[in-house]
Amino acid sequence: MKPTIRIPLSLERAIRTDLARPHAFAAERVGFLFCAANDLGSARPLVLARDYVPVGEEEYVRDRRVGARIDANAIRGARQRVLERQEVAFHVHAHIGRGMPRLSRTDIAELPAVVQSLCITAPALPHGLLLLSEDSMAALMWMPGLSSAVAGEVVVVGLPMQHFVGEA
Amino acid sequence: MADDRYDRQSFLGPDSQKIIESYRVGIAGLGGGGSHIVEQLAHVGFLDYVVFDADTVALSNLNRLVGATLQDVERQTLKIDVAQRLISGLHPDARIEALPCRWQEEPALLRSCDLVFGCVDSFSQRQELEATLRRYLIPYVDIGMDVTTISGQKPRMSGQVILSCPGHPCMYCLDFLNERTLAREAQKYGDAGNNPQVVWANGILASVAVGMAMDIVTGWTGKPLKGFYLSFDGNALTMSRNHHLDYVPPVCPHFRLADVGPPVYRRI
Repeated sequence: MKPTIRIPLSLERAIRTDLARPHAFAAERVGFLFCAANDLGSARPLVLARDYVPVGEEEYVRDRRVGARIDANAIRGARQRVLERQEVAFHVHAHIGRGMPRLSRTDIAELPAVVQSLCITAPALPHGLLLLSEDSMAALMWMPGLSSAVAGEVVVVGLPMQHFVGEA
Repeated sequence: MADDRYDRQSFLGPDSQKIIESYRVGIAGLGGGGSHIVEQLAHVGFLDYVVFDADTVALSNLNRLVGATLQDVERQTLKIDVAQRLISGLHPDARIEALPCRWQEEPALLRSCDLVFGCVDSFSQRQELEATLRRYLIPYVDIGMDVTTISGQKPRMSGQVILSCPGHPCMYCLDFLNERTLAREAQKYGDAGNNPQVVWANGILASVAVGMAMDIVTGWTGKPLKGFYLSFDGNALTMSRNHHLDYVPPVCPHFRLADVGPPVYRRI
């Protein structure tokens, strides 16, 4: 079961533009991508991107050990939307460099807990992490009923189209 | 031999064949246009197909249905089986979901496609197909032709190739679909017989559609398409950019990103 995540090119550009903005003290930016889900029980689950919401300026916490730390309000806001609209949510951030991005040690240590909080909020839906590089992206998803994460196939829908297939 | 197979299209890019093979293409309707498209996609190297058509090969199809034979008429072969035969002859290991039904009866398989070609007969079918594909963020390439006869004049053959891609103009933005057209269709689509179709026009339109798809998939021209609506003049044998492209709204107001995903019914 490899979920396919479709993101319109216009939304992908909006995400990249937002993540590239400098922050007053954080070294990088974070946002949440909200999506619809379909065919979850099938061999080809679909996740369809609807909206990207940047983490607010005031929702970053000073912490020199990491590129960006967000506060509980930012996560609570994402959980609230997931709960109200029953949407799939991705924590989104970017790494410098080209090629298929990989999670850093800090990402592996910290981000699954953020996703777990989304999974608790809407347990019937998958949630995950979306990691961008300068020319690629990778998605990791926690599917309902599965204990380990699976890599998704990301399709940027536009002209031209782009496919990115990561490894779990 | 395997290395030589795609030598002549290597200009598409160093990883183009790998990219092409990763796509799942859907074709709704395997008549004159759809059969050409299937054949060309197989030659280009696509390996994953979902094809829909409920019909069997009839004698009246043989003027245009690529790959069909007299024997298929006698045996009442399904059009999906003709398509399967075409694809398998070039790629015995191709993955083919061939469905002897309308796409509406197996919508999950349509949703699983990365790119869909619509070769349907009516405006209302196009409207339905586009609405579904937009909802699931799938680019849709439409082809169609018609012959119109005005009393006392020679028949006029026309057609179109349209790309409806999320984030770009839809068929309503391009004024190809509108209430007027849909209402008129209720009376009749064309007036030179029952849906006039000829192999050469189908071939031209299908070739342009596949050519456009190759740019979407590989980006080989390096010039991002901004919208695509070509009109075919079958009498002059020319294709031209449709002027409606100059008047599209900056953002499609007909299919909003917020509406993406399965329909949700809310209590009023």
